[in-house]
Amino acid sequence: MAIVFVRTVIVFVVLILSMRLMGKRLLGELELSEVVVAVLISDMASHPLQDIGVPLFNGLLPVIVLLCCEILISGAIVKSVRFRALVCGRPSILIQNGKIIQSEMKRCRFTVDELTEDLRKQGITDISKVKYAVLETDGSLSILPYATENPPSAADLNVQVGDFSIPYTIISDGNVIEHNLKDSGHDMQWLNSQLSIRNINSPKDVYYMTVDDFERIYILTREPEK
Amino acid sequence: MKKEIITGIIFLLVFSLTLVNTHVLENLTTELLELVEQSRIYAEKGDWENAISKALEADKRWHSSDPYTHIVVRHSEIDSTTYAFYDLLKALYSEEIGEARGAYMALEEHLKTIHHMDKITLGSIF
Repeated sequence: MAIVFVRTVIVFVVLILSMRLMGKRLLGELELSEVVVAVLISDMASHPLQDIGVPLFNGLLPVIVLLCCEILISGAIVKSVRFRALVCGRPSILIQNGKIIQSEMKRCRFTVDELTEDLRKQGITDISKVKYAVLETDGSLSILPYATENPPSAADLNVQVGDFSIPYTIISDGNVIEHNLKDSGHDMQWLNSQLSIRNINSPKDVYYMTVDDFERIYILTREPEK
Repeated sequence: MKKEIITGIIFLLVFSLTLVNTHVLENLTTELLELVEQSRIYAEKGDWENAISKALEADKRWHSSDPYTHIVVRHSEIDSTTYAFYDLLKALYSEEIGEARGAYMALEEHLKTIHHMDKITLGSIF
């Protein structure tokens, strides 16, 4: 039993490291090679956990090899457009100027039902209002309506709106995120002064605090413990 | 690009290590098979003392490789081979040539299997 425990911990750590090295993409929408790796890794790593008669190395070696293959293929995909087209395929235009391209639908083995379902999910019920619908290489459908069907932007309406910036998280659950504080161009002295202005004694009393490039501060204090 | 180069090196290194492992297993099994063969020659001549001595030498060599074999060989294969050694020694101590011949064959097959399982051939890959 102790062997299973230790092996499980080792496999877990190796899998976490592998997924981390493969990058964020593997956690989101998957390309073909990434789907292959994700499916294989989950199966390969589980064998030595279930059967202690199989050397642990027999489970870890395929994970290492798959990790190497994935990184090498990802690298080649970034470098070569041709290789990318070969491994990942090319985006397919399923609707052009409000008309379904039936040959592309057939080639992609995409049914009209699936197409209309994806359109409905994006609030479109009338195909004639779609300028382009593109089936991306990760299997998602990008829908681009005619310009006349798009909601007007602030620029179209000549409306002046304030710009935005991504706020830096300065305090999270009572902990000061020092690198964010530094990146935002502030220091502990500034933080303490901002807290004292608001009658807050310590960062520990703050649940969440952010500041953006326009010095807009958001502070949420901790709820009193029940 | 640096990441890909390092990965490529690791990839080749891992493949090289698997080839080294195959070579190490081949050397180990060849060495054991030679000792077992020498033991068999003595047994066929009725020299049980030397036959047992060579078989014990092979058994000792087999057990000395435990830390390595347990990492790279299926544990069921290791157990089968260890039992095959004990069966052979049992036959040799009882000085039964017929039983010993069968035990020799079984042990040799187990040792060959350990090497063949890891050898890259069309058969083993497919």
